[in-house]
Order: sequence, then C-alpha cells, then structure tokens
Amino acid sequence: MSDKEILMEVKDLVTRFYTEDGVVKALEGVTFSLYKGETLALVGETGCGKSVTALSILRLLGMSGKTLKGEVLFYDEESKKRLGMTGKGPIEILKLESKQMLKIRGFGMSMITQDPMTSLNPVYTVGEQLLEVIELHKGMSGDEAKKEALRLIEDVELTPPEEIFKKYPHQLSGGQRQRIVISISLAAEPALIFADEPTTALDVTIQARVLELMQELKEKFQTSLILITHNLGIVAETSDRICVMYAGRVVEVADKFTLFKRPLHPYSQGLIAAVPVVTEKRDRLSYIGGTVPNLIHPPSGCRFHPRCPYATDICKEKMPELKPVETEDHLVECWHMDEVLKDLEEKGGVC
Amino acid sequence: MAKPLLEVKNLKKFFTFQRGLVKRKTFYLRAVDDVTFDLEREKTLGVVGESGCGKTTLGKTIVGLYPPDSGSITLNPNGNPINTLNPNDEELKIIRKTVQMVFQDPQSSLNPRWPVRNIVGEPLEILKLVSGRKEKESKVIELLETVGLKPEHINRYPHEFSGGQRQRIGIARALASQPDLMVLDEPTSAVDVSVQAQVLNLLKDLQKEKKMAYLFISHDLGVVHHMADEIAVQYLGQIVEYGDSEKVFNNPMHPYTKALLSALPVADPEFEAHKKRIILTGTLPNAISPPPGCRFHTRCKELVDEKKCKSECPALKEVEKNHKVACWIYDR
Ligand SMILES: Nc1ncnc2c1ncn2[C@@H]1O[C@H](COP(=O)(O)OP(=O)(O)OP(=O)(O)O)[C@@H](O)[C@H]1O
Ligand SMILES: Nc1ncnc2c1ncn2[C@@H]1O[C@H](COP(=O)(O)OP(=O)(O)OP(=O)(O)O)[C@@H](O)[C@H]1O
Ligand code: SF4
Ligand SMILES: [Mg+2]
Ligand SMILES: [Mg+2]
Repeated sequence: MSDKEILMEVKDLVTRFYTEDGVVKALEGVTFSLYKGETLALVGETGCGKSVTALSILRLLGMSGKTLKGEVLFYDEESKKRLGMTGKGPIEILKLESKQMLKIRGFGMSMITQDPMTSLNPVYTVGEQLLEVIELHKGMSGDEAKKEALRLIEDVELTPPEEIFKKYPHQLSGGQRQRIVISISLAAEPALIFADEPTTALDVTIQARVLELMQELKEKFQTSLILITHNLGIVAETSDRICVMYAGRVVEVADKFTLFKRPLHPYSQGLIAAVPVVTEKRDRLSYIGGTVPNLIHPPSGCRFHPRCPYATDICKEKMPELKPVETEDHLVECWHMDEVLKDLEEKGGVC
Repeated sequence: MAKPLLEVKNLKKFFTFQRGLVKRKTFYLRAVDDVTFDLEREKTLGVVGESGCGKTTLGKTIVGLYPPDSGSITLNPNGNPINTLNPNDEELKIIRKTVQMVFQDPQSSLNPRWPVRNIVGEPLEILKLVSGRKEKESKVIELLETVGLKPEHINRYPHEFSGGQRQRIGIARALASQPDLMVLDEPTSAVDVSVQAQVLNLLKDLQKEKKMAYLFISHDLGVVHHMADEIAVQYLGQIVEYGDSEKVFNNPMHPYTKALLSALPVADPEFEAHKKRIILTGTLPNAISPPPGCRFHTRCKELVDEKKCKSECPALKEVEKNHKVACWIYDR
C-alpha cells in the first residue's frame, strides 16, 4: 500500500451504556483511520470494546447505548453520489438522518456477525433475502435481479446456486450460512465491511476456506475490511494493520509485522507474549497479571495502569494520547515509551 | 521396562439411536472407532482434530464416563495392571483415584448451587480420602492454594469467579484424588489468551510436581504444541497420525494432518506469509455412515492408489521412529 487513500477516519468516539448497575464507559475516545482496500484488525481481551466500536460506527447500539462524542468521517465517493450529496468533504456518519443511515448500511458499510442466524431471517429463503438487498441497493428487478442473486451465490462457492437459492437458512450448515451472510453483505458492493468474529462458530478447515473467500472477494471488489477477532492467528494471517484496544481505548496501531515482532505498548507486549505459537517452543508463557477492569468504574488516567509493570504516578493521573513512535505509522499511547524502548534495546530489539 | 501408565487397545465407542417413523431402524454413530495408543507417566499426549471427530468421547470413555463397546483400557498405577472394563470394587476405587477429567466448559461442569467447599470436597468424601470436616476443610484449602486460589474463596459460588478462576476450580477438584492421569478437554478454549497462559503454566507446573500424565484435547495447535510430548490426530473416530510432537508438527505425513496444519492460522505473520495453505474440498462425511476404505478419501488430494483408498482402510503403521501414519502412501 504505497499511496494510501483514506476511506474512514474515526475520531475520539465516546460511547456509554446506561444500565441498572450504572453507566458503562465502553468507549473512551477511540481514534483510528482506515485505508481503502485494507484489512484492519481490532484485537484485545473480551469486553475491551471491539464490537461496540463497530456498532457505534454503524449506529446500531440499541436502546441503552449512546455515542456522546466523536466523529466518523466517511470518504466514499460512491456513497456520496448515492445519497445525492454534492459539495466537498466526507460524509459525517454520526450526523446523518436515520433514513440516510439505513441506506449507508447497505451500499456504504455492512456487517458480518459471529452467528449467521442473527443476520438471516429464518422465514425467508436465501433467494428472497438476496433479492431484497439487490432490489433495494442495485435497483434491479425481475430476471436481472435473480441472475445477480445466483451470481452472488456462485461467488461464495455454494452449488448448485438454484438449489441454494430456494433453501431456508436452517437447511444450510453453519459454514454455508456464513457464506450466505457474506454474499448478502457483498450484494450492495459496500466500500467497507465489518466482520465480527466471522469464523468463530466454524470448524478450522471450513474457517480456512471462508477466510480465503473473504480475501478473494475483498480484492475483487476493492472493499475495506474491519476484522474483529480474539484469534491472533487469524489476525496474523489476514490483516494488514492492527489496532490493539484496551478497556475502551485504542492503545497501539501498527502494521501486522511490526505489531507481532515489536509491539511497544506494555499491554500489546503482554498480549503477544501470551500466545503459544507452533514456530517456537517456549517452556513457560508470560501473561498479564491482574484482571480486566470494570468499565462502570474504570481506572483513572491510563486505563492499563493497575496491571502495567511500567506504571508511575502520572499514569494514574493523566490519560496518555496516541503518538507516533519510531515511524509515522506506528502509534502508541503510553507515558513511558522511553523506558519501554530502553528495555527493548537491552533485550536485543525484539520482544 | 516399566509398563506405560495407560494402554488403550482397539477401543470402540458407538452411540446408537433410532430413526424412521414406520420402520424403526437402529443407527450407529462410530464416535471412537478402533483407537490404540499408550501413554507414559509424566507425559502429555495431545489429541487434535475437527469438531465432531470424537475427541471428547475418547476422553470420557477413558475416564469411565461412557462404557466402551469393545477394546481394552488398561491402567498401571502401581505395577498391577487394571483392566478398566470389568473391574472389581477394589479396582474401581483405584481407577477413580487414578484418572480424572477437566471439562471444556467450566460453567456447565461445576454445580452452580454448590460453594467451592463442596465442589472440591466432594471427591475427597466419595473416595474417603479424608476423615472429618476439619481435615476436609484443610485439604480443600490446600488444593485451592495449589491452583493459585485463596482460602477465602472456599465459601464462594462458581458464578462469583472469572472464567480462568472457574477453570482453576475444575482443576482443583480433579487434583483432589491425586490422580496419575488427567484428561484435559479444551481446558482453555473459553478464556482469553492471557488467562490461557496462566492456566497452561499452572498445568505444566502441576504436572512436574505431581508427576501426572495428561491427555490434552484441543483444537488450538499452538496450545497443543506448547503442551504435548506426543500428538494423536483424529479423523472420524480414528487416529490417522500419531507420534512425537516435533515430528508431527515439523513433518506431518498424513494428507489430513497436512491440511489441518496448513489450515490453522498461526499467530506469527512471517510464518503465515510463507505458508502454503491446503484447502480441503469435497464432502464432509459423517460418523454414521463413514466412507468405506480410508475415511479421508472423499476429501483427499493424493489418492495414491485410488481403488485401494476407496475400498481398504489403511492401518496405523510406524513410518519413522516414534511416528505412525495410517495412509496407503506409506504402506505400499
Ligand atoms: N448493550 C449493552 N449494555 C450494556 N453494556 C454493554 C452493552 N454492550 C456492550 N456493553 C459493554 O461494553 C463493553 C465493551 O463491549 P464489547 O461488546 O465491545 O466487547 P468486545 O471487545 O467486543 O468483547 P468480546 O471479545 O467478548 O466480543 C463491555 O464492558 C460490555 O459489557
Ligand atoms: N452422548 C452422545 N450421544 C450421541 N452422540 C454423541 C454423544 N456425544 C457425542 N456424540 C457424537 O459423537 C461424535 C463425536 O463427538 P465428540 O463430542 O466426541 O466430538 P469432539 O471431537 O469432542 O468435537 P468438538 O471439537 O466439537 O468438541 C459427534 O458426531 C457427536 O455428535
Ligand atoms: S501509560 Fe503507564 S500504565 Fe499505561 S501502559 Fe504506559 S506505562 Fe503502563
Ligand atoms: Mg465482541
Ligand atoms: Mg469436544
């Protein structure tokens, strides 16, 4: 990616959930950019805000959730045209009316979730569901729409397409259903797809095929992908860049080779070191002590400070900000980068 | 030479069920179908394979939760081999002490209405390993401390713990009888990587300290590689490759193992960048009507001797030292 073109900028998102137990401070200033055609992975422990980041951008938080602050700037010319927007500048997603948002969620951005059954309607056939999207977003109808639907089914390698077209979701296997969800997401040829744990429910061998398929389709349609997963293996395999999240903050952003080889944030270092890999045999695994923080009463300052080996008073008092370290594209938020870098030097440069 | 702790020979476990409304017909699901292996003391055997290939069933049959249909399971805890298929009362007691299982999902395997005191204390009572409340309590506390929990946790209930802590309670309960063999069924699949690292370290420490053998079931190859001395690759109820962990990982020989290893994403981008992926196509068979011949033949790219592959089932044969494969490629 030499001349990188920005597709979306997410700035300082603050999202809250209002629950009986109190206000969940789920996102506390999430900031990142997404380039055209790239796969950006969001990683981090359970509850750190990966799904909520996607839902905040798509504005699908539900009744109890609210994004209080922040900007989502979407630079997709096609979407602008379709919304009938003239003038310069990006689409400001958080300012759109809900009717416009509904449209954007088809031709601008769409989402693939962990459980395909939640995105499919059990009472309609695969064909009916595909036709609906095609008619709504592509303005096709009749035979033309049906031909397009069959082509989309073929694209995700389900055969014979005519048979699959007539089936109800429960008549398909888990892997087949997930492929249908992918084909529905692709039907409108969106500029951006969110894939939230897209293969968690699938078997390894089927997972491999679904991931490969997503990669091929992504290249074919020049789509950008935001991939959310626990599985650092999948991240290593399919992403271009990685965003590490901790307790509602993005704490580090880098390309995947850098992030696996030279993670700089103390949390990312702990996360990477904890993964056993088949390429080297270690006697013991290192791990991050302490527990995931409670987001109703999150820690002050840097939210990682109670578990961080480098923490000092300033970490407790002030929240650090994402800043480039070593290269322009490697962003880290941490008060003690100097110490971290010094330690790395002593260990010979790699983590 | 001392006998291995566990000897499994030609083990079969079928599930039966009826189908059909008018004519009820009995079907057999061949979950474990002719499995043979040994496990030495203080060693770990990793069992890998796709979902539904029979890993959990194998584990449960070995600990005695399912009666096998045929074959033998022999334990040698103290020099007197015990055939676990028809033990007498004395032997049954020894078996229960010798083998324990930690389950995949701690949430469902711990009784939610019991405090930790009862969960961990129950096996001590059943096996009469303690006499009196006082002794039981101090033993439970000792076990909690062994797995890194605190004495004050004794009165808490499972829902008051995190996933990793719950898994530790399951381990403490399994350790209560001082087993020689633990069957660990995906012990970390429900927890985050950082918690997983803590649990795996704990298991390794305990193994050294208590000189236990592990049968370690997991679909995460990184985890299995980290834990196991030997690996068994299971496909539709059968072991298709078996051997020294490094040998199986560095030189997988069965076409299925090759595909499985290549399909599993590894958390190392440089490794991923150079990896060649083998994508399996063809129909995924089921264990009710497994394909004749080599069970993998419907998805196999090699099919060395098509006629043979489709009609005769290859046996597990030693191809190099401590490395066995069941495939006609290596048996011609
Ligand atoms: N509808 C909701 N109501 C209240 N709190 C919520 C809601 N949805 C999410 N949260 C909280 O927001 C935080 C972030 O949740 P999120 O689902 O984004 O986590 P995640 O990173 O996707 O985790 P996982 O890996 O487990 O999916 C968590 O503390 C979660 O409990
Ligand atoms: N109690 C049971 N009654 C009937 N069939 C069963 C029973 N338990 C398991 N099976 C079947 O036996 C086969 C093997 O199941 P098993 O649970 O051993 O697989 P597994 O390898 O542990 O899979 P996973 O990785 O998904 O846990 C499956 O086809 C399953 O549906
Ligand atoms: S800011 Fe402080 S507490 Fe946060 S990661 Fe850096 S050193 Fe640790
Ligand atoms: Mg999530
Ligand atoms: Mg299982």
